[in-house]
Amino acid sequence: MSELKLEQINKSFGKKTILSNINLSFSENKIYGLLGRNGAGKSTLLNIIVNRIFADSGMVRIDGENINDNDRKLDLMYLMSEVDLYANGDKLSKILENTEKLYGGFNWELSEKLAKKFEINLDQKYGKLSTGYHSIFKLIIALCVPVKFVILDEPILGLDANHRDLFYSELLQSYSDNPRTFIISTHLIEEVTNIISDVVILDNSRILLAAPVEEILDQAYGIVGPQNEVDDYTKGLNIIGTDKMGNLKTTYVYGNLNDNPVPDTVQISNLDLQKLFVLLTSKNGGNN
Amino acid sequence: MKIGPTTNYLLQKQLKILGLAYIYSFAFLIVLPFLLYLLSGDISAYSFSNALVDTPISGIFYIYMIVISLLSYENFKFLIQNGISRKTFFISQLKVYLIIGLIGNIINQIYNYLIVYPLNMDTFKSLSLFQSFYENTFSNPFLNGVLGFVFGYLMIMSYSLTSMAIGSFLSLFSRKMQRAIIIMIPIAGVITLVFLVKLVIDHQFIDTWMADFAKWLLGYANDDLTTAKPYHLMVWCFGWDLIMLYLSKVFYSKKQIKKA
Repeated sequence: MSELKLEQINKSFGKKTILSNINLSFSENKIYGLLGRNGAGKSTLLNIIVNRIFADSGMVRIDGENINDNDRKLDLMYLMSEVDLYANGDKLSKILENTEKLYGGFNWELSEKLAKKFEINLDQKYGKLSTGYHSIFKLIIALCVPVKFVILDEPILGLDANHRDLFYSELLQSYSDNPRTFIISTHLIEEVTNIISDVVILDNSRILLAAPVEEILDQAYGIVGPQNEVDDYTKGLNIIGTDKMGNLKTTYVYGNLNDNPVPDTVQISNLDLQKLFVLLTSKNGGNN
Repeated sequence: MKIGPTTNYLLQKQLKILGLAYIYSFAFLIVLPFLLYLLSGDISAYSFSNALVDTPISGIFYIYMIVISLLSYENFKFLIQNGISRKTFFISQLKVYLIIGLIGNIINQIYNYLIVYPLNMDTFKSLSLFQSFYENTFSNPFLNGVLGFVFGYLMIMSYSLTSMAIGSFLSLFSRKMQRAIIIMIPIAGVITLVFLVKLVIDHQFIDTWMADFAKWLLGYANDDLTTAKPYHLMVWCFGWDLIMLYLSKVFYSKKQIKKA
């Protein structure tokens, strides 16, 4: 089983620290969601993983081997990102041919099927595509290259609801036909919640959370009830946020609940991933 | 390492550009004047053989090599997107320059010897640096031809590798910084040139170490500046190429995607 490992990655631009002491591990055949607010350093991290830019310190390894200037390891990853690294004057079909040449394989059957479904003409030039179709074209490549780690940075940028839906279903189909690791960085958390198996939350240049989604959501609670009783019950718990409406209070907790009996007037429910993300990454949210 | 596929990709791409450079040059320097003469009704004044002699095939190739060697960032973007390391890019790109340099040199020699020379024997001496200075290195014309070929190849590689080093150095900077460097370097060059011209005007140049070095570099054995051998210049070019190669390797290893 291949493993992609990040060890003590640090990166700054000028005086601004973007990534600080990042240690992470991505296992084979899982779908990860990389979440973070704007400017959290997600894209920087992904670019360091595939060696497009250098970390100030630290190392990225695949199966123990440093990926820096290492074709054998770089060849196992594909990063689809917002930045266009294809030449505007090249035809899409030519780009696919060259991609096959360099990756040493390409799923032509799937690419033709996806091109038909997304209604993209492969005889046109890359520069003629709209933002949405730039994303679609790069997604087609990402699903068709023979790599172990498919990394998607804002994959649905510019895609309409229909295309987004189609993309998610094709992603799952592709994963089911050919299991491999996907790392998806996105702002639309609700849309990927049911797709990802593991989540990594990046905040203030550090890893805030990295664990299976199920495990995380099992520890995220919303406790609703009269203010006094909610306050009494949540005393000593890891509170990550609160809401108030009249006399009703909702306290959000991340971590284990205590063994105290739950008052009849208090209700406990699990949080969804988006709510948890907002609470954990908002400026006043929780003690992390 | 994926040197084979990368070399293949770069070679195909850059040969296509070379083909286009020749086609456009032919169109602009031979076909267009012909059409203009034809339209002006003075077609008898047009000489196809003169147009062939006047077409600077070597110059076109030098410009092509300098331009493709300067512009490496576009290829870097595509290759790093496809999992190709900087090291593989550098080695493959070097192989491609060596191959294309050889092809261009063969075309230049063939064009000079088979087209230009028979059409215009009088001006043959001024066709290239080698023919201007070193055509009598050997009494045997075949050996001279071989030496001229090697000399031409070394000169092409010197231009290419220098451009490769400059281009890869510039690619490390933002566009804003690149513009600043591109403006500053010619200014510094002009100032240096003015200084050198002043030296020549003041007749000081002849006595300077620079003049001695220039004479040595060009291979003049005597002060009468009549007999020259190309070996000093060839060794110098080879040494220069090694330095440029080393610098390019360092700069290539530092390439990064901008605004990633």
